[in-house]
Amino acid sequence: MAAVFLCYLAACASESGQEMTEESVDEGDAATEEPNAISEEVSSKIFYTIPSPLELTSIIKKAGAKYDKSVLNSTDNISSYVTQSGMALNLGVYGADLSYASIFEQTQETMHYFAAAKKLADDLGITSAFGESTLTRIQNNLDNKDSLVAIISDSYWETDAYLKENKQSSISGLVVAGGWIEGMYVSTKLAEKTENNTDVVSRIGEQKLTLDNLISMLRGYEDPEIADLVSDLNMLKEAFEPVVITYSRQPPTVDAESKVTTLNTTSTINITDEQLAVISEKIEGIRTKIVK
Amino acid sequence: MIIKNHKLIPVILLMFALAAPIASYAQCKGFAKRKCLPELKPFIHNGQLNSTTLMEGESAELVITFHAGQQYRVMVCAQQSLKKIGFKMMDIDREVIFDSEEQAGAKYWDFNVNATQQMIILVAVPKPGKHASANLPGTLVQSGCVALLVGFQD
Repeated sequence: MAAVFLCYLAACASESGQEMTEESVDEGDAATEEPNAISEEVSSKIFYTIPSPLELTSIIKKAGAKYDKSVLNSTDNISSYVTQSGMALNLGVYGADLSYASIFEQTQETMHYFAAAKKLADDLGITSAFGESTLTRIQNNLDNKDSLVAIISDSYWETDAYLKENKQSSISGLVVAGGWIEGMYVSTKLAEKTENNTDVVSRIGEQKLTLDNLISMLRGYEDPEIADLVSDLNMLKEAFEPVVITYSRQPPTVDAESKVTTLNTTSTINITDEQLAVISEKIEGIRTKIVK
Repeated sequence: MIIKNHKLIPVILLMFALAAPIASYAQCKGFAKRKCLPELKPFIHNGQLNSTTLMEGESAELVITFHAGQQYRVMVCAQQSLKKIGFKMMDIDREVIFDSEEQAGAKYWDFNVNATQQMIILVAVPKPGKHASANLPGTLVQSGCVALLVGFQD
């Protein structure tokens, strides 16, 4: 009995480190390190995180993209999502559409997509993330973009935390992946519709870096649905391969008054129209599989 | 409370053992929500719960992409059971850009980014023996919830 108890506690200690997606653990000897210094030699768990759809939308808006509701996933499709993985992926999709509508201050669509996300979250048992109190807060802040964004951000956090807390990290991974794919789909469609689209296209090209993180994150989960998705994302990664990001390293500077550091390194993103077309096609294919 | 039926003791122990991980998750989430999220404001967090339980001597790394033209706050928040914790920000070549130890143990760092780039955030709890109380006989290795929050400004 004592052995069972001890083994269980050991498993518990291991599990508690799994809230972030863990890739590897290394042991090293840090005996010679300076007192209290942070050592890179001690055991290290590696995790990956992905920008939220709110951040992606903010980025493409700054790059000059406009609002176009025709690129979003119709809420009429919601009845098609009946499996757990379908619901999770499309919770991410509708979450991204909700982010897009809210950042562009589209109140009607914000309510529409909030309702769609709430329905899928409820079906997945995540009632705390999109509950009645959140709905009331949204209704009371429809004219206040900053508050609206903060409320939606809290809902994402509640969703992610609930799933990880209930040992459904792979479902959380699907929600994050669905959100990123929809964000990319919307970005590529808007790039087609934006006249001077150089900045929007550059922002798309830079997602090559995030795609690597997303694949690494998803590989940490043992789930057949995720394996299929990773296979699709690996094909997308191949499409991103010819995109070249070149850095010009510059030392950071600190503003004397605000104390805020600026990382002055700059970059150039080389992505041709043909490369963008291949990337857009791959993204559309993955997105179609998710929302159909 | 005195347990007269000794056969119940293993059952009670098992019940505690089964409840432990659930309590641990809930405790970590509750801690991150109550103590950490409010300190991130006015930055908008990225919606992902990046938290883990670390013991003294352990570290964790988070790989993340920061985007050009955005301002970010990276914040590390740990339970009081972990006496000391620090973090480093490194570029993808592991060149250190920020070290909280050099900033009087700062809990957060605000910065602007001119080029979209991958960064590594290393969070570490010093090994036992590196603070005074750890030298006392019978001192247990401490562990606690560590949350790593990343926020941006729209």
